[in-house]
Amino acid sequence: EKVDFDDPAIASLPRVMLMGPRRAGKTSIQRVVFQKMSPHETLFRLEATQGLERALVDHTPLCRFVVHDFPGDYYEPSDFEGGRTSLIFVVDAQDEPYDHVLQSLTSTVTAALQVNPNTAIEVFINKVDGELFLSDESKYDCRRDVMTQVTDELAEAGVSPDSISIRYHLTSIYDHSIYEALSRVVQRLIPQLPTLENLLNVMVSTCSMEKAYLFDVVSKLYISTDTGPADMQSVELCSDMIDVVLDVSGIYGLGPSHEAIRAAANAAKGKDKSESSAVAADTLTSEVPAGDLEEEIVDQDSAYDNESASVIRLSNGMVLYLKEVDTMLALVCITRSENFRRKGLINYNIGCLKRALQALVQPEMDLSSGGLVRRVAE
Amino acid sequence: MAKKKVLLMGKAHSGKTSMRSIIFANFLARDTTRLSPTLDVEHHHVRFLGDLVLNLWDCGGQDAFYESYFERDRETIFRSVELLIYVFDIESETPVKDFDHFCGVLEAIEENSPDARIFVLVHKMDLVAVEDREAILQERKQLIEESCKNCGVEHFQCFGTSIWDETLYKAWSEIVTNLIPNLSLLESHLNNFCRICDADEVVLFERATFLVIAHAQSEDAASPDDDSTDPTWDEHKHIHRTPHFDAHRFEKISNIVKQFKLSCGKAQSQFQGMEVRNSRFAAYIDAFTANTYIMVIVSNPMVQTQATILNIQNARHLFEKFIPRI
Ligand SMILES: Nc1nc2c(ncn2[C@@H]2O[C@H](COP(=O)(O)OP(=O)(O)OP(=O)(O)O)[C@@H](O)[C@H]2O)c(=O)[nH]1
Ligand SMILES: Nc1nc2c(ncn2[C@@H]2O[C@H](COP(=O)(O)OP(=O)(O)O)[C@@H](O)[C@H]2O)c(=O)[nH]1
Ligand SMILES: [Mg+2]
Repeated sequence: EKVDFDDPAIASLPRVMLMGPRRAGKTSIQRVVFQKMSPHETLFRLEATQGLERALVDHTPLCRFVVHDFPGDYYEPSDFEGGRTSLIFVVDAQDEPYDHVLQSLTSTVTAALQVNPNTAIEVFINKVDGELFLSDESKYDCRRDVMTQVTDELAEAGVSPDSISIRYHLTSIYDHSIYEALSRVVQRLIPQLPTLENLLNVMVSTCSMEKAYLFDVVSKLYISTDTGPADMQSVELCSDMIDVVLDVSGIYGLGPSHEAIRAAANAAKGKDKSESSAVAADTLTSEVPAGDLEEEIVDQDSAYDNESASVIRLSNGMVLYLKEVDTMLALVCITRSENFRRKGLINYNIGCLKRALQALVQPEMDLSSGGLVRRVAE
Repeated sequence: MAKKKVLLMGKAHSGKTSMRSIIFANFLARDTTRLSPTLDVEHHHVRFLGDLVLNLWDCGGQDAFYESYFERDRETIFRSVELLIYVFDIESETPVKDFDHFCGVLEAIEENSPDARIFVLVHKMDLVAVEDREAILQERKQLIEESCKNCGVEHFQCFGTSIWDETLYKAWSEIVTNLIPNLSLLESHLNNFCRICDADEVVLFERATFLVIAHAQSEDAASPDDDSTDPTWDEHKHIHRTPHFDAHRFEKISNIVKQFKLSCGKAQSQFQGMEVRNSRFAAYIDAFTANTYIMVIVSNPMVQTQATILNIQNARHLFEKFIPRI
């Protein structure tokens, strides 16, 4: 289980740095999105972070990075040295006044950019939930205040605000906004993003879909979508669909090997070591071939497999269609039910997309599959 | 149309209104933090299976109210009660007083509605660490059992619940199915349907609440170790089936689908039906009769998707007459 963060293969991955004042919600964000802690649990299960905590996010080949969760009020510019990096500066929207916090924000940002000019700067205005933020207006007001203050601070520090690109996101761990914001952060870290968008554009137009998303099913972040207009509500619905698919499959779609592992794990808890390992070896080898077994153990969410798919029909005539396209990667599309009748065409195109994605991950493979996707249209 | 009086009682802030709002008024768990305390008694009429009207008496739990419940309004409150649901807050700071009130309520019920069915919920179990939950729940159940015995109450059911997980659906499904007569007829037809579809199992949910009202399971899935062979049952076809389903699966599905229904509502649409599959199973969840949803689970890869969908379609109007009328 231990990850070696100094391993060059891991050290060279893109990094997401969570920084900001104490109790702004950095650790909560990390736990909720990447470790499936439920938001209300963060209320009583989290303690102040004492030292840098790193976590590897590696569910699907196209989307791999390391999250750095820093202790509160800890800002060290040298940490930004190196490759692709996003700085997420988390501000607590329920903890006014922000003056002091925004001072550290601007100084951290300028220092980070000096060390690594390619650092992407993202500000999460977090905790925009509860009594204070019932209306959207109150959220926008808050964002405007933060933006003006940051601009003022930067000007005061002699930095031209236009020379720095900062993206602002209104977030809360209690709703979908945190997934939306992190999706945008993560997309910036993926070198193949333009290609992905292109593939999805072709997909959407050849199959007359409304919208298509590629989701990392474990984190529920979407790593790409076509360039057509998106609305937050439909993304959220697609993301909720992933929950449904994983949860239902987790109940009815776990194989016998999984049962054996579960049984063996239970046995291991109860009995002494030597005996239980014998039990495990016994049940396991009798159930599945060794090759499959390895995959099953590595892959915790194996209820999501290469035949995973789902169709959800809505009363407004829309259909949500989800299909596996790579390890822990799902294509989720929104399409009108009349266009969903040509399911053969859709599945054929998804097959092409699947091959193109594999070629992206393993560049030595044939890259002509982009052309294949188009050929069906004619 | 039948009206049934349901008393919802327990200390203030124990979570009564939260539960009611989630089950019957489509609240999300996180919205319940905005509820204000219940003053005196709030009456709510909620519909179930179309015809059954539950007359919910949500009784505010502050001490002052109890005095009037026990004295002045004793008969009004405790007369002709069909169901009593008493809620204990696991984190209560005054457990002794809670039990005093509980006994008071039991006595008043015995006196005024001796036939009422009694359910006790030990609520907010999510606040107890997972590893201690079972032990603490058992301990609490013991105390509840003693109280009941002291008050001469023999029949009651007790559940640990939390609005943050599926335990809520488990408890309320049990509570509500207690009010539906003739469920066995429905179940026997559901069993037939399950066999005809060659399904592993079939579950019926009430449409608005998504509480489970009935289910059927294929015989081999139900008794994996049973050697006796059913002559109509072609054994080798079913070797691939998963014998051990999760014991909490129904309430989990209720929770999952209800959440999704609410998401659809937020996106200005309604959920009509879904299909979920992987290499080992296919699940079909679909609007069924006027007041129900059905879920059909099929793991036999020989069964075609279209066949299952057609079976569900054709069974719709047939089942309309087996859904109990109250
Ligand atoms: N209402 C609300 N509370 C939040 C949100 N995010 C985090 N919190 C709460 O904020 C508190 C602090 O969260 P942490 O994640 O420990 O904050 P942190 O930034 O990691 O704190 P340090 O490690 O001390 O720097 C917890 O009680 C969380 O439940 C949010 O979006 N909304
Ligand atoms: N942790 C936890 N809190 C709960 C649960 N159920 C309700 N609550 C909270 O308890 C508080 C009081 O609930 P309410 O329904 O108003 O209690 P009532 O006075 O009994 O009606 C609310 O803030 C709810 O969010 C639960 O299962 N777990
Ligand atoms: Mg922290």
